[in-house]
Amino acid sequence: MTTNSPSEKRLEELREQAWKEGVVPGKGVDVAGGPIPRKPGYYGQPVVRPPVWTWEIPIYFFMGGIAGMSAVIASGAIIFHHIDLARAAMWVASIAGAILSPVLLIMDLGRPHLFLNMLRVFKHRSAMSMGAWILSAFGACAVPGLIALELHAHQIFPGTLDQLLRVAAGIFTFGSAIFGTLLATYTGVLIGATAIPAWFLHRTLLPIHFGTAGLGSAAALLELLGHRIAALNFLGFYAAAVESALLIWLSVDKHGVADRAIHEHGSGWLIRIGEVLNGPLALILRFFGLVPFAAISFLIGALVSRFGWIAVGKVSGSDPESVFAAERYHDVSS
Amino acid sequence: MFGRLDDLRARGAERVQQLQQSGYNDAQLYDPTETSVRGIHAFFLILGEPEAYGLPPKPQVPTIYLKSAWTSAFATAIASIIATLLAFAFFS
Repeated sequence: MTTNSPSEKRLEELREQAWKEGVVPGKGVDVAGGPIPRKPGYYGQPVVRPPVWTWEIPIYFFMGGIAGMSAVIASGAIIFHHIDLARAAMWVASIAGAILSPVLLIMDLGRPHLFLNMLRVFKHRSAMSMGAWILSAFGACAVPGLIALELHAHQIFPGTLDQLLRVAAGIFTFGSAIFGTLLATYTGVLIGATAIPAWFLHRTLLPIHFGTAGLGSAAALLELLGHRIAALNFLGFYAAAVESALLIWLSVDKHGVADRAIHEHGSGWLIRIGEVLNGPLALILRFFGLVPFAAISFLIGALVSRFGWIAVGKVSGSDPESVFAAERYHDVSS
Repeated sequence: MFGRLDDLRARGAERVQQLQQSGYNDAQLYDPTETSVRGIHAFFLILGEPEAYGLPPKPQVPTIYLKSAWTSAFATAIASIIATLLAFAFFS
């Protein structure tokens, strides 16, 4: 054995020091390829619990976004007398928001009555509790709104009853639009106000991204359903422009080790691919008048980036070094 | 029962001093009371950094992030309504 290798020397020093003083405060020897790999934290164990959500939740985020923002488009369509568009938008809102979304949440929870259990409390400090109430209120507005709108459109009842239905359709549609904007954006709060570093460091970006992706998706879906009007095209431009800005923001607003799951890990690519599809690419396609392609690109991008954010959360939550590093960025004011 | 919390904290601090005097310079009490969690109902006397034990050095309650996240959500909600109204007002 060579006695002049650095690790052997250090071992000798440690032995001498221990013999003289009875205590060794300094560091030991780091053996390259040793039996115990040096990992950050406690043997690389996660410090916070990573999310356990499966595919139901990102699809629910996507559906909730479409449903909520469809109700907003329906309200705009009613105000400006596009009754056919309003009917289509309320169908989308009701199917995606009052049927598919609760079904996806129940699939995630396991049993139907667990969803009712969510409604046993009203906890304003919990985004999940608020979300259960927002979704319920949305469904309670969207479905009657759709029924009233359809009865009015088909002139089923005569005279005053029809006038009453018209008023009811308006009230329920506006109600579903208010809850709809919250339905599309609360999901960003839901994952933003957590202990997962990659999520809470982007808690301002997430509701903007989810809400705007919902608006763009709703407009894109209605366009694909045959409602090719200039107003929806404008909303498509607006959503794609905001998403492009968010892509730039996300690329600039880096936090080093703390959110490295987004910038260094493979799952971050899901977010970036999604953002390119519903940001710059949708914008360019729309600019050249290729509206159906822009709509499809936006919808796929919105869906992919939802999956990306959940995947990134799992990686980030399992990474103890990120959790430790993120504690340097707990500026509450921003 | 281990005793009153104040007494336990005082005893812990005393023990830390005792250890530091005997050469364990990295002895410290892990008791995060300064951050938003305001204590974790347990405190530990540790040697070295809390990270080595899987303990976050400055844990925060995630509900402190609610305000900025909801602000962003409401701003997005209002912006979406305005954008929709503008779209129908000027492009139909």
